[in-house]
Amino acid sequence: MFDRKLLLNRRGVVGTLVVGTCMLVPIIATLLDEPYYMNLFARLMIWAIAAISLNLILGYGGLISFGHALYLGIGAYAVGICSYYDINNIFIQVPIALGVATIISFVFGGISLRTRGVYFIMITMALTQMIYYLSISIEEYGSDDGLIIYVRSEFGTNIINLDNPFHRYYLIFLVMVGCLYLTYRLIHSRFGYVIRGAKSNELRMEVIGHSTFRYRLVCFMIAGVMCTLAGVLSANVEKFVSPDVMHWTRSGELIFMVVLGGMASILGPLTGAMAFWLISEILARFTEHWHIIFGPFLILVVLLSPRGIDGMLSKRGSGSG
Amino acid sequence: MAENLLITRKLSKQFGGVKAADNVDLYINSGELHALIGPNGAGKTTLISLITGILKCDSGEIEFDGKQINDVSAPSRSLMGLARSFQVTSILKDFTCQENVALAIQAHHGHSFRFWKRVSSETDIQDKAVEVLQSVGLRNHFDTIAGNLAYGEQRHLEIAIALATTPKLLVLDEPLAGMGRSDSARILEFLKSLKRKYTIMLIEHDMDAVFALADRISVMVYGRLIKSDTPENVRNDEFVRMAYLGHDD
Repeated sequence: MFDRKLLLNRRGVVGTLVVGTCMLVPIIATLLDEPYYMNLFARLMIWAIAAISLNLILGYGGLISFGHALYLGIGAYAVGICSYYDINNIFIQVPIALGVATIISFVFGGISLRTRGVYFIMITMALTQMIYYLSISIEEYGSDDGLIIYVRSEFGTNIINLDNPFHRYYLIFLVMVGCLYLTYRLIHSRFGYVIRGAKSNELRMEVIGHSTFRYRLVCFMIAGVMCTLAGVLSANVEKFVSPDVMHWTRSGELIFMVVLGGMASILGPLTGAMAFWLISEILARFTEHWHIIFGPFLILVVLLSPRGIDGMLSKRGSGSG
Repeated sequence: MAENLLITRKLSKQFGGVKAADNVDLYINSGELHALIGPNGAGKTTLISLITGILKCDSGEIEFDGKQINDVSAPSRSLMGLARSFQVTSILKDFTCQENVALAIQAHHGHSFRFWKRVSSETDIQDKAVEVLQSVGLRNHFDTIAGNLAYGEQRHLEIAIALATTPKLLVLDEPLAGMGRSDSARILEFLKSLKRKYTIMLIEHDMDAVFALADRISVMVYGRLIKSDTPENVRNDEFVRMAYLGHDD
């Protein structure tokens, strides 16, 4: 009993540490006069938001979506294309981004959720590749050279100005914390129980009266919309968007982050995103072919701790917190 | 209210060349405990999968509570009052017992498009879950992870989940399967206590249990229903004895 409390605490300590670090980075970076780290952590948090959203369908729903980077693309291109037409107001850009994401996730989810297992993986990947090639083929928006965004999204007030790196950073931070909290609420709600139950035993859920398909579809859409926010933020950090953002390898990296951090844990995707960056950074110092080492390393992690970093911090397999 | 709670008419299902259900005409009266017996591979589990909507029939008709339900999905049939337990234990192994039962209750308490409020704070659901678990004798296991229960207790939970949906018809697929003697006796007692409270369709290989409990017994052989009658008449039927019950008793 004591042991378990201790482990739960350890998990809590690491969680607080990671979120706390994210909060303090701008201050530390300023003190050290190293603005690079602020940009780095802003990017990491955007990755984390995308991974947090993927965790909803992958971790809690048990559905391996191999096309999640699509929504990063939708968010980023929504900002890019709007700005191309001189629409810089974020209150117009975001509804457009979320609207498009809602429709596309509804259609794509409706198609792919009729399949299971490998077929689901292949279909989600194929659908995303479809949009990827679409984005390459449209010359107007830069095709594979990408689209430069000259003006960041505007709030129409000086209170929040995304050209200010601090404002930008803390907006991303707030969105991330919001997504974490939303996940927490979601998985303990009726909806969350149905999603997690369907992962555990779909037949059982159907027989007791839950039509799992429609709940999974809504979950797929929530995940897509949440990831679109990450895309919007990403466009504002990079001031650039290209088809690369939704290449299938990006979707794969998101899966790595979720698996590395621990599927079906709230903070897992965040620690996963950090660990992913840290490991790739370290490996890249030794060789440019770091993927060759990274792949087997991931397999090792999955074999030794199926629930990733989170699994190492807590022994209980409840998957609920 | 329909006197025949469930009626199947010429219900058929074929797997390749095997007729798992062959023109099955069966009716179950409200309030009775109806046993379905037959040798392994006779198609008993197929029949209840057709009834509960897990399989789709090739031809024929199923009527439940006065409505034709051929095209009704399994979840909707559950909402209409059809519940089943599985021969091979089918529980949510990584959820607690209470969560297992609460999820079944939740399905019958409005929709689950509620994203914010904790289920654990919905007292009407949790109170009922506690009540159901107590009724099946799992009062010490509310917070036990279902996968960690002993086998016999998992079988209890299996029935508890079905009961939690407050069914009109409770279909139990070999509730005694794989049980030791003392566990069997406990479940048997429990089944007796359910009799008359629920309409029950029971598949079971334990003939002592079947003849002790059932109001009527249907016998299935090679996908066909060869007899549906009272226990005495089934016991004395020459054909049934030859086909199934064996020659020595």
